[in-house]
Amino acid sequence: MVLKQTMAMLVDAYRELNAKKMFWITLVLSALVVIAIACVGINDKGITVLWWTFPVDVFNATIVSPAFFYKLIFINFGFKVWLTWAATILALVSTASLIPDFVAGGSIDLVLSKPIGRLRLFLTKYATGLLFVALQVSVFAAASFLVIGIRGGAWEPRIFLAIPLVVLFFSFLYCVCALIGLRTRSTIAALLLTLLFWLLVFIVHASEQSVLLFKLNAEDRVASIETKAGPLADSVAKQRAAIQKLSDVPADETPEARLERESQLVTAQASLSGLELRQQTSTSSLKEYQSSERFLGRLYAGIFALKTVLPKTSETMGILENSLTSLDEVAKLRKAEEERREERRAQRRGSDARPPNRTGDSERDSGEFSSAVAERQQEIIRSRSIWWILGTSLAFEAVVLAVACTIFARRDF
Amino acid sequence: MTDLAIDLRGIDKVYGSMFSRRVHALRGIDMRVGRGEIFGLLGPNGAGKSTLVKILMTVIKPTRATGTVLGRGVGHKPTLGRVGYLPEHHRFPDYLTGRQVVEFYGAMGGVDRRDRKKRGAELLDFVGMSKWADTRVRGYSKGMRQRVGIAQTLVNNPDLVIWDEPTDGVDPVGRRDIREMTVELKRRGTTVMLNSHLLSELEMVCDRVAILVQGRVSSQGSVAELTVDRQRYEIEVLAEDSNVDTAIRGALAKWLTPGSLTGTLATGESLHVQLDGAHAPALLKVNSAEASVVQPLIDALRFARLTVRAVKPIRPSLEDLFMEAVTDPTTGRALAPGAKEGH
Repeated sequence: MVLKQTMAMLVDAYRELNAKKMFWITLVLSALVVIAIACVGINDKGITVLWWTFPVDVFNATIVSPAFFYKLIFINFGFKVWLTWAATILALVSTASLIPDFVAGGSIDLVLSKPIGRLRLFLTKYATGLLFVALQVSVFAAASFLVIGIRGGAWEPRIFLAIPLVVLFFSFLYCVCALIGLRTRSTIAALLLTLLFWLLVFIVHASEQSVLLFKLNAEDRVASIETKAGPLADSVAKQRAAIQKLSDVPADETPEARLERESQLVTAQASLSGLELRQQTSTSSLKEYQSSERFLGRLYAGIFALKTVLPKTSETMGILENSLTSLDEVAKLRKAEEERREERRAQRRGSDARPPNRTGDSERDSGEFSSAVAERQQEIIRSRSIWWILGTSLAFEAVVLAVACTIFARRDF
Repeated sequence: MTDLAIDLRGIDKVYGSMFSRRVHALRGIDMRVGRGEIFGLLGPNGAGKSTLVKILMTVIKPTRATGTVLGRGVGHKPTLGRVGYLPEHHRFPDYLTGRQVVEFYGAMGGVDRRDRKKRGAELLDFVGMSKWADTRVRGYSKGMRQRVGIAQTLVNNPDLVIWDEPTDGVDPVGRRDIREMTVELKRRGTTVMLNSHLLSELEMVCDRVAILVQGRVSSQGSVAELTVDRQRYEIEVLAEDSNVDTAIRGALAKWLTPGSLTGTLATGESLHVQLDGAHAPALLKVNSAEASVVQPLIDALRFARLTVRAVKPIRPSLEDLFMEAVTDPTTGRALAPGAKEGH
């Protein structure tokens, strides 16, 4: 009986999707995206589109392999842009009406009067809502697998990880959509409030990443200033000792020697003043950055706590990226980009006729974060376990579904 | 096994909560529906008919409910596999064809694939929809939807069917067909519970009815049982040569109260005389269904040389019963529709 009812609901969901124009429009668009990606290639000079070549320093076959290039395109454009943004919005538009239509008067009576428990009925209906994305992403993943295999020369079965990951990603939003649709019985309300919720998740995610970067930068600067504080203090002490020594007047000092000593004393005192000024500035900066570090630490803790209870949409898709691209390949690409950036900086400095300064401090003083800080941020983000990312997100989904199930089980229709 | 398909005792339903407006929709409903009978549920708008049916079908949760449906407690989900339900204002997925609708709800009712395909075809033929079976529901008229709706209630070969306004929006031919289907179901031993406003339709097919008014069962039984106390004889009388008033008062003097046009017969039945003028026919109303009771009256009238133009046994219709049930006896006006607010 259970299997019959579940199968009937799945078949019905398929028929419903099949009847929706949006399902086929999304599928056609997905096919176009895959075809567009297949038209792009890479050779020793740069990127190729059909028979045209566009020279690119960073992206060419001497730096990245065609397989890695295709993986990057599929991850960054196919999955991150198309599946997680455009196709997800289309999927939400298509599926937002499922629950409001399901609980509409005259419709819900028919299914509630069947020998099926309310909890199972709601959860099965919810699962059928995920069918839209599951079908779309399955077709897309299969097409991607073929394109990476044929064009990139790498048969990458891990591409099919996209199916569970994208379905999970969508389910984090769809559970909110289902709850709102059930509560309000309005498709428009369900769609708009879900999109707002998604925006909130995105803002929290972006804030967490930015605050983490600022926090790491503050920590880096504090460490840097503290590292330099010791030698500076030693220099000041040495200088003071030298001045003390120069201040001592020898008993048999000749006028020439006195003149020489006084000249050295003046120079030493000037040097000491400079050193003391640097020490003072350094202490002041240290206090400032320590204060900033404490504030950013607290802010980050708050944002991170909020992020922990919310679903991790970006990180969920990041799992796919992490599984498909190795750190070595990413590092190689990043190194090439870094070299290219250095060249550009050198060219800019040459044209500004300014003396070259390759120290990290000057780079940071100009408002940029050091590459070490950026790398540290990426390390922290990549070090988050799959269990934390998916576990906390699934916990959020479970709570939202529990609320929805309670409403559905108790409501009079 | 009990002989009752539905046996309800003290069904209560209060909508709302302590934080919102409370409406006492059902107030201790007691109702019994025998197996194999056609039962009509009547009542004005807001009387609680649909609420009661939805409680039986677990669409609404009762505040208090004791009783059984097909021998199992109200709300017992597996029992619903033996029940067919057509809700009022039902809405089938419009992307499905009539055949798919019947098969989908059959599957939801736990019917095997082979059975639902076979029965689906038979039922669509039974409701006269074979020709349109593979057309999408969105292209159906209201009557066609009702027919498919009826077919889906029967796909699980139910012991009990509950139809809420089955003839809503259906033309006279369709109504007759549905009436015939109802009788055919009864012939096959299926219990049918009808919820309808079309009293004449119900009167034609129902074995028993219950009238709900403001959340309570006002009366319950067969139409004959409910009308037995309301049956009467009417005698139309003419006076050929004299004033009818004087002639009647003289002929019926031993039964009429002096100075009045009402009285009591020797057997205890009440008598009421209605006069419409000196030469117009008078109408005598005797509160009895027995022909023997009116014979002494006829004899007396004939003895007084009055002309008895007609003697008619009068049986109230279901509509009369209904109107009596929904009329406030103190004011003579219809009771306000809807359930009462209450605690």
